[in-house]
Amino acid sequence: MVKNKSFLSERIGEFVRDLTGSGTGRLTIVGSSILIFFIVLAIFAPYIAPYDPTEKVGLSLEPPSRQFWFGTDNLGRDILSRVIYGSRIALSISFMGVAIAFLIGVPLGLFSGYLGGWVDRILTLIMDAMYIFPGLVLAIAIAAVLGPGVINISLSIAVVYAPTYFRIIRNQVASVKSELYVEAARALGAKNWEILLKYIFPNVLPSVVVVLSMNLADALMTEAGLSFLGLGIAPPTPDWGFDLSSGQRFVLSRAWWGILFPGLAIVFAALGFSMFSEGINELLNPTIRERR
Amino acid sequence: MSYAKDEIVLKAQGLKIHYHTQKGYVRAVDGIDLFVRKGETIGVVGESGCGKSTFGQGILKLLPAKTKYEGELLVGTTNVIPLDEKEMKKVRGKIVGMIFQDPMTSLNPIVKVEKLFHETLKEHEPNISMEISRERTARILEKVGIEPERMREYPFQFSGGMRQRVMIALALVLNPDIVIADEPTTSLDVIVQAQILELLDELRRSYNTSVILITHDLGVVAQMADRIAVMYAGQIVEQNIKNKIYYQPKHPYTKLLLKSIPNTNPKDLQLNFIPGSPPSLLDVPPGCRFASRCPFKMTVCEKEPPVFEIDEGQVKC
Amino acid sequence: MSLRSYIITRIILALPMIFILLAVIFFILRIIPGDPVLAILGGKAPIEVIQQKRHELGLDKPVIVQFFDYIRGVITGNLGTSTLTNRSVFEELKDRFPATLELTIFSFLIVLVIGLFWGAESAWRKDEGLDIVARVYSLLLYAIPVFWFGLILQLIFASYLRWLPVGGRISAVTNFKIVTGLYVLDALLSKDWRGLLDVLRYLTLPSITLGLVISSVFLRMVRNNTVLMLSKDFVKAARARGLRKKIVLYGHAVRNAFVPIFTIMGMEFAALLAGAILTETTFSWPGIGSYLVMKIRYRDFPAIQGTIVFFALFIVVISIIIDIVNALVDPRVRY
Repeated sequence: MVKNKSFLSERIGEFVRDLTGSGTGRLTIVGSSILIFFIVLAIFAPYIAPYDPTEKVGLSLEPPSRQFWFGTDNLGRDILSRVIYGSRIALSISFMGVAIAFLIGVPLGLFSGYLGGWVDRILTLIMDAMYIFPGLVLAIAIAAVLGPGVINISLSIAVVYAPTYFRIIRNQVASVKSELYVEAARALGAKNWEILLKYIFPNVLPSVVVVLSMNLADALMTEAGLSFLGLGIAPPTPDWGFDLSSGQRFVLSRAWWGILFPGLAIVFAALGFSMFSEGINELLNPTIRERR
Repeated sequence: MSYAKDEIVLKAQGLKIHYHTQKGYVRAVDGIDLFVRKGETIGVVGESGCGKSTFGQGILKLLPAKTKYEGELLVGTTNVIPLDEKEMKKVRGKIVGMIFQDPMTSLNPIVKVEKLFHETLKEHEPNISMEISRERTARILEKVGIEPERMREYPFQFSGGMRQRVMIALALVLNPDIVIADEPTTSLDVIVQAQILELLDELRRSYNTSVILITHDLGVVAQMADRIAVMYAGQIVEQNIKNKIYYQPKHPYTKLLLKSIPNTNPKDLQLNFIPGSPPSLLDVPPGCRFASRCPFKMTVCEKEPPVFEIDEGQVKC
Repeated sequence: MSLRSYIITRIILALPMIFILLAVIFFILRIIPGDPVLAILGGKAPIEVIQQKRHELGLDKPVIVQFFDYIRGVITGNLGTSTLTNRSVFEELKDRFPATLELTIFSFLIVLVIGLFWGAESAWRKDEGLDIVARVYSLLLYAIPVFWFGLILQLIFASYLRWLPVGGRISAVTNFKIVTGLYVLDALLSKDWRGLLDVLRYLTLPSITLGLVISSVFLRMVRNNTVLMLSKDFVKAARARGLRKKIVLYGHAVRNAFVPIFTIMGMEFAALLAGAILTETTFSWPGIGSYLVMKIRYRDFPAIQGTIVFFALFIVVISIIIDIVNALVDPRVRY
């Protein structure tokens, strides 16, 4: 284990070096700055937003002006305030969705890979089936049955991404469990759960971290898609995807501000997540890029 | 192109090939003088990293785009150094064929053998029909000892030795004047190695092709070469006819290289090797490049060594 | 193994996959909390009405019986009856499927052309201008939600410039004979050129929207895999034979680059289908995606389940086709 620790610190050292030097490092910095920006926006929304996002504060469909920087929507609500508050739903659902997926996929993957046998085979088959299924369709189906709500939408997203974690963890565990140090621990009488938690889990963690960061952008987009289809959280809570679908009704009236700003928010947040994950990805696991 | 007997088909004069890397230029080939006569085999030997493969691929200018070529390299009567990609294409395959080290990776595994031949023939003879190209493929495959019917198969269905035969056939199908064989047998097992060398030699005779045989294996050149050039750190340190190199080596590096060949003599218990390693070609020290490893080092060796003409050969010491 | 026996084996192997997919769909829709009957009727419905509805939907039978009813239904092409229209879900899907197929085919063509040529040329000139633009393009479009991209194109080309229609699939004025349901093909078959132009005008924005967004990942895969292949010995050997760039790049490097791409092509197609749902909703495109969304609004659960099963079968069929094309490109798969 001592050997392993020095290896990890080596990695972190490399990480810092790369972060400050190469182009990938810059990508990571830009990505994480965008992320931090949105997190700050979400936390301090009441102090940053100029108006109450759910109150009628102006006329209907006012174009951007000094009073309303991003204009107003059809109900006379300030779009800037709605975009700022919208980051709360977007971030909390994507973080929660990925976290739940992690909590379902990782333990299942650990046990399935470690135990092997028919349990493993059946679980793998089921997870594979879910994996090849279009994620959004699955999420739509679950969200349709569960109904709106932050937890429900997070759950629908989690079900889409859980198989990814399951697969990665299962395959890694299956290959790690025959490594010498695991065999040695077993010979010394370590219990199954001890082996899993102390020896196997720390070894498969880095690859999961990469996927975790990559999934955040996808989860954000899935959430936006679900709420665009009317499957998100219930109005009038500000939500970028939902605001876009109400903005769509005024495409022909050329109310571009109702479409441009919530959409830009999604794009920037998704860009932030994916630049961040791209950076993390290349720093932790240089070979993955070749495969994508 | 036609040549009189003894005509020179390739001539390098002061040839330099420098790679571009982030740390600067690697002087992989740094001033080579060499000629090849029609129909002869010249062996280029040296340790790995001495620049012999760079030389081989440099003849066809196959190296990365930013590589610098200097000096003169005559293929036939044309200097290829100033030629661009488009003009080089007429030289590649048609005048100079090439055989690579690893037949497992140098043939596209998922392109049918007949298609590999057809695309090659069509490139140089645009009006060729599929039938004629099949006919010619069949003829050359037979020559290298492969049943012509196998041209319908994919390279991944062939064994290593068989693939190398296909590779040789592919290099010879356009009847080039020169064939560069870059470590053609290194990745094969010993019996197959001997067969492939024999085949190559036989084909050289029947087509009257010149062969540039690049290898680190002195046994391979002993079997096949007429003349031998010994390379060290991007330069040719000694060249002469085969027997002179083997029995009267002049350069200390050649001597040590010959001593390091493993043999089956039971009294010879120790495996000889040359201590030290060649200098970095990124930053070459002045003077003789072998000096740091040379057992006969003298103070003169700190200066750039001249090339002596001795005993019908050249030595740079 | 001959290509034909490979295809047959592949189809037989798909059967268990279909069964598992069907089972997963069934149990996910059953296991998760939430009662479809309550969702349909609302919480205040009297108990008799709820019982009645349960019986209608077959929900009062044991789960395992329900499951086998459902499997039998799928095999016989019976996906249930819509509670909204009382029509067979299968019939409704059959009417709407050609629209989705047409949209996905055209989008896929755009994905293929952009990914293949741009990806290959970027790989050939790695780190030069074209390649850098390709990298920015794929990063940017990866982060753009397909529906938002569609809305922006609607704003520009339909609302401001008025060049193209904002949504729909066909004008009321065109009347060519509908045979296949793929309007472009039908217009071509009836030689109705004005009709063809009309249909293409409707198809342009949705297929460009979906095609460009999906092309981002594909472009990246083609580029990266081609870069990898260009460093291989067989590429150098092909150049050493004097082959021109076109053959070296497309006949050797790109061809081999597609071998690993095929393994994830199914995922790409799944992404295309998911994107189609959003694109159809954005452009009021009358395919199965907008059908699903509409049915969700009306809580028509048999139709929802039927549509999802349909998507699953579609995915399996596509993955079989991908594997067959893969076997054509890479003969090693067959041996």
